[in-house]
Amino acid sequence: MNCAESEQLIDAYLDGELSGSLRLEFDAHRLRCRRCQLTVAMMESVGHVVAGDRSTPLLAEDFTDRVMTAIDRRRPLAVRLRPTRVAIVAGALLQAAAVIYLAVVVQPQPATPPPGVLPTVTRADPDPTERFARADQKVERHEALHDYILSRVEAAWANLTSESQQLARYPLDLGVSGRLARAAPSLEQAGPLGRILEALLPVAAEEAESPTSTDDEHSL
Amino acid sequence: MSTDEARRLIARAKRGHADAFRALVEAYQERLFAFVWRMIRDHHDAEDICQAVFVKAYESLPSYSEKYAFSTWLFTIAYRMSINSLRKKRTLSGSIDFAQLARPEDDAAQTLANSEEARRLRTQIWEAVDELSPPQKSSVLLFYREGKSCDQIGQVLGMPAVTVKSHLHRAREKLRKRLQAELVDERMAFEFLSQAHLA
Repeated sequence: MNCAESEQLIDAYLDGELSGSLRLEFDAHRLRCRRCQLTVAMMESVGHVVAGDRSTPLLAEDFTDRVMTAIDRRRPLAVRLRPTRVAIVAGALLQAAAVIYLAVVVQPQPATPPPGVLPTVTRADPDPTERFARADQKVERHEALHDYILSRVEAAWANLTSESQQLARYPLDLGVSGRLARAAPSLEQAGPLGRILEALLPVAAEEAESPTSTDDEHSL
Repeated sequence: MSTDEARRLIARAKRGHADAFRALVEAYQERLFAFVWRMIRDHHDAEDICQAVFVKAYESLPSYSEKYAFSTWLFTIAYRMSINSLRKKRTLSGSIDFAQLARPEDDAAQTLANSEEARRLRTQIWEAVDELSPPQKSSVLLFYREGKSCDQIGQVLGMPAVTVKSHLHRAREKLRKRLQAELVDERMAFEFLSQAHLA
C-alpha cells in the first residue's frame, strides 16, 4: 500500500468501517510512513476540535425572554389571557348572573291586592283612596327599580359577551378550573341574556351533586 | 435533557403551555446557537436567526412528528434560515467569502487557551472548516459536534444520506489537503531539519 491508497482509506478508518485485510494493510503502511501517521493524527484532531471546542460566543442573557416575548406577541389575544384574568372575568360573570337571578326570578311582590279582593278598611286608615294611591306609587317604584337593574345587567352583559365567548374557546389552553371548562361550551352558546342562567345552573347543579351524596352518607 | 423529558415538554407545549416551551428553548438554545454561529459567523445575525427558529418551531409544533428527534427538527429549521441569510448576504455583497466571515470575537472567545501550539492547531482547523461550502460545513458540524448520523443529517439538509456521505467525504478531503500543507508537511520539514542538525 502506498500513501495515495492509504489516504483513500482514512475516512473509513476514522468512521471505524475498516476491517479485515484492508485494516491490516492500512496499519502496516502507517507503521512505516511518518507522513500518513501525521495525516491520520491531524484528521483525528479535526474531529476532536469540531466536537469539543466550546469557544463559541455566549448568547445574550435575556435571549430566552426575548424568544418568549416574540412568541407571545404572535399569539391570539384569547390565548394570551392569563388564568388570573380568567378568574376576574368569571367572577364578573357570576356576579352578573346573581343580579339577573335576583332581578328576574325573585321579583318584588306588588302591594296591590289579588284580583277580586278589596282592601279592608279599618278605623286607623279612614281614607281607602289615599291608601290605594300609596300602593300604586310603591308598585311604580318597584317597577322602576326592576327596569333599572335589568338595564344595568344588559349593559354589563354586552361588555362581557365577546370576551366570555373567546374564553370559552380556550379554557384548556389556559389551564382554568374544571368547572369553568365544563361551563365554557354552554357559555359560548348562551348569547341571549335570558339564557345565561341555563348555561350556568347545570354546572352549579352538577357540582352540587357530589357533596349531596356525601351528605346523604353522613345523614344515614 | 432526556428523550422522555423532551417528549413531555413538547406535549405540554403543543397544548399551549408557554412554560414548557420556555424549558425547551433553554435546553436547546446553546447547541442551536453554536451551529448557527458557525454557519453565519456573525453574533447578532446568529442570535436573530435562533430567535426566529424558536418562534417558527413554536408555530409549527402541531406539525412536528415525534419520529424525528426534536433537535434534528430544530436544526432543520435553523439550517434553512441560515442558508437564506447567507443568500441574502451574497445578494447584497455580490459574493461571499466564508473564510472572511470570522470576526475578531473568535480570538476573544478563546480565553481557555492551552499551549500556543494547541491554539494554533485549533485556529487552523476552524479556518479550514470555514472554507467549506455550507452543506459540507453543516455535515461536518452535525456529524462531529452533534453526533448525528448521515440519515439524520440528510433530514436536516433535505437530501439523501448517500449525498451527505459524499459531502462529508469531500469536506474531509478538502480539510486534509489544506491542513496537510500547513501542519503535516511543516512538521515533516521540521523533523527532517532536526534530524539533519543532530547528524
